[in-house]
Amino acid sequence: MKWTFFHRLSSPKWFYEISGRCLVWTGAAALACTLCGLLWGLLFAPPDYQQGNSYRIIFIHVPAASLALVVYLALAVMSAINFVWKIKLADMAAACLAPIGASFCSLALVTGAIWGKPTWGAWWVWDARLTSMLILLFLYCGLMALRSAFTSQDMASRACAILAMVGLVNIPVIKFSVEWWSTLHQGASLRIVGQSSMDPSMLKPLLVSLAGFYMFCLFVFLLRLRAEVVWREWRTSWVRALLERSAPHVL
Amino acid sequence: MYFDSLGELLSMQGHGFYVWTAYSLGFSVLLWNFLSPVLHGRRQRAHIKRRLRRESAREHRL
Amino acid sequence: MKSARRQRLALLFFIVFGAGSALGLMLAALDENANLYLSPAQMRSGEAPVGIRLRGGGLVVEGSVHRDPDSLAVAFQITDGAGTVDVHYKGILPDLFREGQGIVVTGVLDEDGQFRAEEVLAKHDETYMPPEVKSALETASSTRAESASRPSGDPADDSASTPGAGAVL
Repeated sequence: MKWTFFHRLSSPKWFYEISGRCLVWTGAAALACTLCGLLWGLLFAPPDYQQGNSYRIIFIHVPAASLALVVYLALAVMSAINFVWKIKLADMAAACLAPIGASFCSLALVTGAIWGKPTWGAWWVWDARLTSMLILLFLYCGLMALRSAFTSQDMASRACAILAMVGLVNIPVIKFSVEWWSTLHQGASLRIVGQSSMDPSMLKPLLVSLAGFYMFCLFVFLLRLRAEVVWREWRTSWVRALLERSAPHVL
Repeated sequence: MYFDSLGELLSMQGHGFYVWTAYSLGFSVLLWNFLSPVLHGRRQRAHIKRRLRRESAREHRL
Repeated sequence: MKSARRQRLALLFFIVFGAGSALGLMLAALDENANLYLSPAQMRSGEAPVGIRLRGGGLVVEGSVHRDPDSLAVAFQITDGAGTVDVHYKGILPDLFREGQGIVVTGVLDEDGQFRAEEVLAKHDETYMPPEVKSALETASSTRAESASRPSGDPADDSASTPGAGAVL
């Protein structure tokens, strides 16, 4: 089996150079899409026929919740790659994804609670969707705590990889909880195949906001991973050269 | 624009508190996600540079 | 070296499938307990325990809501199509509470099959649309219902009137 291309792709130096080139563009696209989507949703989209204006929280809630899941998937894949092929960059990526995912997961939970109060009549209900989402937040926190509990980098990455892969079973549970059980949380409005049950005047700003959040997530992930690469590789000659060259304000 | 006046935009027919709280929380999470790696990275770089300087000073002495 | 990698890959699959099947078994054991609420049909059939705090959920039956003019007391029925249960509640109802709306009630089912609710939560579905679209949809469906209720001799005549409504939907 040939895995050599894998190792070439995973060189921290190569990553640092490539990510430096697309950093500005990702950031600009993220800012433009997020601002456009949120302002559109907040100011221009019509109110919902049942919920009135409170539904506008959806333009933050849905992107945050979807990112919480996608970031976990990416984290688990990175952990698995590091677990099997011992690729340092994948472990660094997994380490960087945990706080990002945790922040979006808490945002989804909190905005959900704020939305739940005026629509359902309760901040929190122990239904399957909300509970499994809370478990996801605990998983993220557990991953961060586990990593900081080890002094050995290698041990930490192995332990985190195993926890991340075990926690992977929670993702389909979150996704399909609204179909498998009777929950207070409604079913999915966005569908990849078939018609979304949302009017185009609301769907468009939501999709723009989703794209913005995804770009933003990629942007801050690159920022984090670049800092992590410098931190872990500071003994190498290329990082030393980089630090001598760069002014302190460079990202 | 859907809203006619600033007051209407702020009150959102009674849902203003919920919507604006959610949006400000969303904004702070985005801001944290951006600032945290930038500030953290800057601290780490300063730390590495100090350490490199110390080491090279020691080498000179030897 | 290569075999060590293959071993780790096998371990990875073992972990993922092990955790997956463990969770699957657990969920199968939990089965109905993971549901947030019982349906009116389950309460009717005696599946629901009497005198114990539980949750029920269903659609508010059209025309069944009776509000007490002097207090906050309200009585209504919920249904899931297969059964109907009377609900009694005293308190402020959520904004989204209306006839035909899905709701979840927490309370106690008494011996007479009456549900004494302590809390009423409104459930909303995954449909989002502006009020104008909703009213347009309603007029479209009411005209369609009229044309459907009309005794139509020619089936081709009925199908000719539907594409317009279908386009709105």
